[in-house]
Amino acid sequence: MRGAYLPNIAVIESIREETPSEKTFTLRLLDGATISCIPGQFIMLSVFGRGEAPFCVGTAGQDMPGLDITVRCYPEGQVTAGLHSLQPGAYVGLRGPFGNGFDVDALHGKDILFVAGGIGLVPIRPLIHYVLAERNRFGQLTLLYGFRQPSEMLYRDELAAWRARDDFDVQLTIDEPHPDWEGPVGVVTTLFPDLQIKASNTKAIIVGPPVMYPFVVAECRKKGITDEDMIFSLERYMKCGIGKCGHCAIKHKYVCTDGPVFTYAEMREMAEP
Amino acid sequence: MPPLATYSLPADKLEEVADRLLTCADRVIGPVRTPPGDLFFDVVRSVNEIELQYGNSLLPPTTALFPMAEEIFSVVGGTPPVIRAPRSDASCLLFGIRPCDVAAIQRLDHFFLDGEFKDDLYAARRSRTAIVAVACSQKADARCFCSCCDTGPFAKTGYDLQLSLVDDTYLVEVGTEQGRRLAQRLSDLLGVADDDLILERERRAQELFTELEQKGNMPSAIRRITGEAVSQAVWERIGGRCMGCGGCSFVCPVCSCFYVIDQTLPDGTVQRIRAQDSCRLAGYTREASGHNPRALPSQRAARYSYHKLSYRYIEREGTQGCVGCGRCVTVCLGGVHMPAVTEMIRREA
Amino acid sequence: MGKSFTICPYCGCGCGMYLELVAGHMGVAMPSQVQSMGAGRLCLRGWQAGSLIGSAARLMRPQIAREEASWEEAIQTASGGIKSVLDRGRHALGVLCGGHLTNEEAFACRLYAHDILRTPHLDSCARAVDAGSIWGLEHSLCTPYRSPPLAQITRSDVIVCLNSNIRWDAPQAAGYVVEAAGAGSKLVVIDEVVDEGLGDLAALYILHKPGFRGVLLHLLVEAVAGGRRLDAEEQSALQQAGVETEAFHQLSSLVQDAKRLAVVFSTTALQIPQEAAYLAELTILRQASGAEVAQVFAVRSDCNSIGVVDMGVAPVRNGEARGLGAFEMLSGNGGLQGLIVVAEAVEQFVGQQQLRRLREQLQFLLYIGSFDSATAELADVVLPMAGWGECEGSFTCHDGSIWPVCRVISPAGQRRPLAQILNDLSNAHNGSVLPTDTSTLRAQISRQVPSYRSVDWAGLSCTQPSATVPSRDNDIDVVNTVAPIREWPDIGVNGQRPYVLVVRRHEGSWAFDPRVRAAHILAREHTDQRSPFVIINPRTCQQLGTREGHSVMVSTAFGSQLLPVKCQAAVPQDVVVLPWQFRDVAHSLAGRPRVDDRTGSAYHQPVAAALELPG
Repeated sequence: MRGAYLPNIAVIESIREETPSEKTFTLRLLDGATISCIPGQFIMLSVFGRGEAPFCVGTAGQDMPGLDITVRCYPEGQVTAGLHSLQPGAYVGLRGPFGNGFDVDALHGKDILFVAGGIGLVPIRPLIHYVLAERNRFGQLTLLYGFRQPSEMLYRDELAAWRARDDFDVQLTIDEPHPDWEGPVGVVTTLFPDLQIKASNTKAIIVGPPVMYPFVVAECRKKGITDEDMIFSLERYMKCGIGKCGHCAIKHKYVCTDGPVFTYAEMREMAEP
Repeated sequence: MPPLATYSLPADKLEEVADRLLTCADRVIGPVRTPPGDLFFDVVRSVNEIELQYGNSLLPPTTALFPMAEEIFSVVGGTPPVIRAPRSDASCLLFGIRPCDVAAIQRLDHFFLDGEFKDDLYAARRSRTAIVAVACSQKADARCFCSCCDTGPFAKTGYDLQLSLVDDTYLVEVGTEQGRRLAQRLSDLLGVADDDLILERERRAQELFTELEQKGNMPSAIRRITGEAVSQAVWERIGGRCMGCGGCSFVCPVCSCFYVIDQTLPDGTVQRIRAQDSCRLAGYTREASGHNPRALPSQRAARYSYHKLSYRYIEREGTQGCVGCGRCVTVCLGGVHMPAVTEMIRREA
Repeated sequence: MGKSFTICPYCGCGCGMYLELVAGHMGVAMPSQVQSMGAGRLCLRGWQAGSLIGSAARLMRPQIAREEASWEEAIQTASGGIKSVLDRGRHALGVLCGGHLTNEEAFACRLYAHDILRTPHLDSCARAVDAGSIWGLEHSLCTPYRSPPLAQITRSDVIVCLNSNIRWDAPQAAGYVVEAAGAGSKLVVIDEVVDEGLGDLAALYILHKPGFRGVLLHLLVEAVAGGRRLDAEEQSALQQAGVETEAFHQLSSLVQDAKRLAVVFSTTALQIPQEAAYLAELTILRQASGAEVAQVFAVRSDCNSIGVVDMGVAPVRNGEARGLGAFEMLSGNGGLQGLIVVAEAVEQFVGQQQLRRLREQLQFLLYIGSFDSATAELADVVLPMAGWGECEGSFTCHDGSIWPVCRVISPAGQRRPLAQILNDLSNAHNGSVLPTDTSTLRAQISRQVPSYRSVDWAGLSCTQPSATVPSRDNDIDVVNTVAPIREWPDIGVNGQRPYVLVVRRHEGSWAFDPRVRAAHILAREHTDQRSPFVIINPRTCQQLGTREGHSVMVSTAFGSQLLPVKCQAAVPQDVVVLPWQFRDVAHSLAGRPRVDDRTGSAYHQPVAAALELPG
C-alpha cells in the first residue's frame, strides 16, 4: 500500500480547451490502476517540480481507469500554470480521492436546484451526470449558471445537450451585456425571482466564488429553502488533503476531510470573526 | 493512568543510566548545548554533553518527530517518473524531555495518528521512538506556565520512563511496555520505590504547583473563545502587534501545520519537502485566485487562539493546544504570545 | 553536520541563528538566544532564511546572452566585454555590489575594482539607501556612526520612533521597542500614517503631513535646545506640518524630561540628511543637559551594509577622481559604458523600466550573483556565485561587532565563490592574481582597513562580538549645527489635486528582493505585493464610490496611472500611499527621485495627487 502522501503516477491523455483560461485534462492512471470517486470529491494533483493542489473530480464512478479535471490557470498559481503548460503524454501525480462528496442518497426523490457561478460548475458537473443517469429517481431539475462573459462558458457541448432535454431546466446568464449574447444579463441571483420551485422538496446545490454565497443564500431563503437544504462545496487552499497540513481548517472543521461539501446550516457554525 | 511499575534510583547513578540508554537506540536525542551556548534537543554523542538543568530549549524536542522540514519523497524523472519515499528505520530515544513536551507529544500523537488518515511520516518516526522524561523539580524557566495548563510539573501519562528527583533519589516510573524493557536494562541500578518516595514526590509536586503562577487566565480564555465572547477590538489589538514572524508556531511543540514545497535539485531530481508553516502568515490561506479568507492579522490572531484554546478543538484533539512551555514568550517580537493573549482576553471580561 | 552558527542574511539587525541541512539539500534556520542581537527572536525573513539553500531560483550555471555556457567561455566573454569598455577609459566602467556580501567578498570586490579595473565608480545600493541617514548622523556627531546594540533600546525611559516601517524593515528593533513600551518606557511615534501595532503602545503619536518631518524635527530641536515656546513663524510651520501645538509641547517636554532617550529608526525611512542630523542633535542636547544617556539606534538596510562600506565599497572621492554613487551609475547620466553588478538585483532600486533604459545605453553588463533577477536577465554575461551558507565569511553588524557567517554546504551546481570569480576575471584581464581564500583576504583586510587592524579573525566568536569602531557611547561634544529648514515644502495640494501621494516602505518593501523570491514561504507571503496598488483610507474609498480591489486613476503633475486600491485605516484621509517597491510607478507619479549630491542617496518627495474613478 502506498503511503497517504505518495502520489500515483498518471498520464495526461487529452486536453480540451474550455475557455481561454480553463482546460479540461483527461488523466489515466498507469499500470491498470483504477480510482473510484463520488461527485463532489477532490483529488490532489502534482505537477512535479511545481507542487501539488486540490482539484474537484470532473467524473465520478466506480473503478474508473482515470478521470477528468477542469482547471483554471492563475499566473501566480504554481500548479495551475504548470499544468496548463503541459501537453498530452506528460506525467503527473495523483492522490485521492478525498473529501466527503455530495450525499447522493439524501437527494433521491428531491427536486434539485443547481446554482453555479463561473468555475463553480466544475464540481457540480459530475453530480449532474449522476442525476441525469438516474433521472427517474429525482424530481424537477433546474440549473442556474452565471458567468462573466460568453467566452467563459464551460462545457458548451454538454450544456447544449442539457438544454435540449425537456426534463432539465437550464438557465444561463452573464454578468455584463455582450454583443455575442442574447440571453439574460445579470449575476446569477437575478434568475431567482422567476423561478418556480417547491421549496419543501428542494435541495439547492450551490458552488461559485465566495462573494456569491451571501446573495444566493438570501434568494434561497426568500424562496423558502431551509439552511439544511442549501448544500455548498467549499474551496480552500490546502496542502495535504487528509486533515494534517492545517491550511483548510475553518473553525474546528477541515474542508478536506469534513467537507468540502457542507450545508449552509453547518457553514453558519463555521463563520469566523 | 497509574504507572506500570515504579523504582528508585540513587541520583548519582543518573549518568550511568544515561550512558546505558545511549546504547538502547540508534540515536539518542537529548538536551545538549551548541558551542556558542544555545540549548537544543540534538543527537547526544556522550553522556557528559547532556544538560538536565536547562531553561526550556527554544525549539521543542518534538522536532525529532515532526522536524522543521523533511522530505516527503523524491521523484526521478523518466517515462514514467519514479517516486522514492525516504526510508527511516533508525530507532530514537528522546532523553530528558520535560512533562510539558510529553503532553505536546500526546496531542501530536492523537492528531497525526488517530482518526481517518494517519500521517505516515510522523507515524514512522513515532513508532521507533522511546520517551524518557525528567520531571521538573523546580520551575524550569522564567517563562513557563504548565500550572495553568495542567501539564506539569510531572507527566501523568505519555512517557515510557519518567524520572523525578526527590532529594538524592530519583523516582523512576514505567509508563509503557517499552519503558519496562528499558527499565530491565537498568535493573541492577534500580531499587524498590517505597510509598514514602512516591508520596514525597506528590507532595513536592503539589508544593511546586502552588508555588507556580496560578492565574485563571487559561480557563477563562477557553470559555470566552469557545463562546465567541472575545471582542473584535481585542483581536485587532493582538493582530496589530503581531509582526507576522510565525515564530510562535515554529517553536510551539503542539503546532503541526506544514507547507509543501517542490524543489528541483541540480541533477533534475524533484524533492518534495514539507516545512513547518504558521497560520499567523497571510499567505497561509491565500488561494491562487488571490482570494484570502483570512486576510487580516486580527483574523489570523483569532484563528491561532481558536485552534489552541477553543473547546471545540479540545473535544476534537483530546487536550488543549497550549502546554505552557513558554517558548512563544521568548520568540514573540510583538509581545502577543500566549500568556499575553490570555491576559488581554481576561482583562476584557 | 548539525547546526552551524551564522548571521541572518537579510536586514541590518544582525540576528544570530543556526543553519542546519535537512534532507541533504534544504536548510532550516533557527534563532540563537545567546547571541545578543536576536536573543532568540527572528522575523519571518530570518525564520525562512534556510530555504535560500536548495531554492530553485538559484543561478547554477554561467550564461552568455541568457544561454548556458561553460565557465571558460563565460570568463573569456566577460573579460572581453570589460576590456572593450575600459578601452574608452577607466571612467567608463562601474561596479555595483550588494550590501549582503561578506566582508571578505566586499574586500575582494574593492581590490578588483581599484587595483585591477582602476575605476573610481564602486558603490553598493545598500550604502546609497543608508547614506542620507548616516551622513546626517555623522555630520552632527562628528564621528563615524555605529548604532548601539539594539537590546539597549529596552533601557530607555523615552523612545522616539521615526516611521513605523521598522516593523517591516528592522523587526528586531521594533521588537525591542515593543518590549520597552510594555515595560513602561514612554513611546513616541512620529509618522505620516498611523501604525496599529506600535500606535497601540504609543504614549504619544505625532501624525504629521507628508514631507514635513524635517520641519517638525527642526522645531523639536529648537524647542528642546532653547527650552522655549515657539515663535510665530515656527508656530505657522508647525501648523503646516499638521501637528497640534499641544501635541508638540507634549513631545518636546517628553524629550526634555527623558533620562534615557532612545531614537529609533530604519535608515530606509529617512533619506533627507537633515532629518537624521536633527535627531542626532537631539540626543547630543539631551546628553549635555542632564540625560543619563541619549542614543540613536539607526538600523541599516542590509545585513552587511556597514562592513561593505568599511571594506571600501564606496565611490572614490578625491581630487583627481569623482566616483559615481550607485544611483548616479543607475541613472545613466554618468557616462558609463559598462557595469558590473555583484549580487544585487538593481531593479529593486530603480525599477525595471529605468533598468532597461540603462541597459540600452550600456555596451556591456556583467551580472555576478546567486539568484536570478531582472538584472541577470538583461546581462550579457551571468556568472553564478556561491551564496549565503555556501561560503564562510563575516558580517559587521549595526553596532560594529563582527560575526562569523558559516558554510554548511558546498556551492550548488557550478556556482563558485566570489573571490575566485574575481580572480579568474583578473587573470583573464591582465594576468593579475587576487587572493581567493578567506584567511589571505582577512590578513589583507587587517593590513589595509585601519579600523579592522585589531580584529582577531581566528577567534571570531559567536557570542562575544569583536568590536571594530567604538559605538557612540563615548562623550561627544562637537556639534556641527545643521542649517535650519526655513522653507516649507510646497507640495502643491489644491482643489484639483487634493491628496498627497507618498512613496513609502511598508510590509511589501522586500517583495522584489531575489532572496525573498527564492525562499518559498517568504515568496508566498509577498505574492500580493508584486503588482502595483495604492493604499488609501476606507473613508476616502467610500467617498470616491469605489471599493477594495477596484482601480482608481491616480494623477499628479508628473503623470497618471490606473491602480487598484487597498484600504487601510492607518492612512489619513488626504494621503495616498504608494508602496516603495513599485519603482516604475513611483517614477511615473512622483517624478525622477532627487539624488542628494553629498551622499548619493535618492528619494521621492511627496506630491499632490488627484484620485478619480476610471472612465
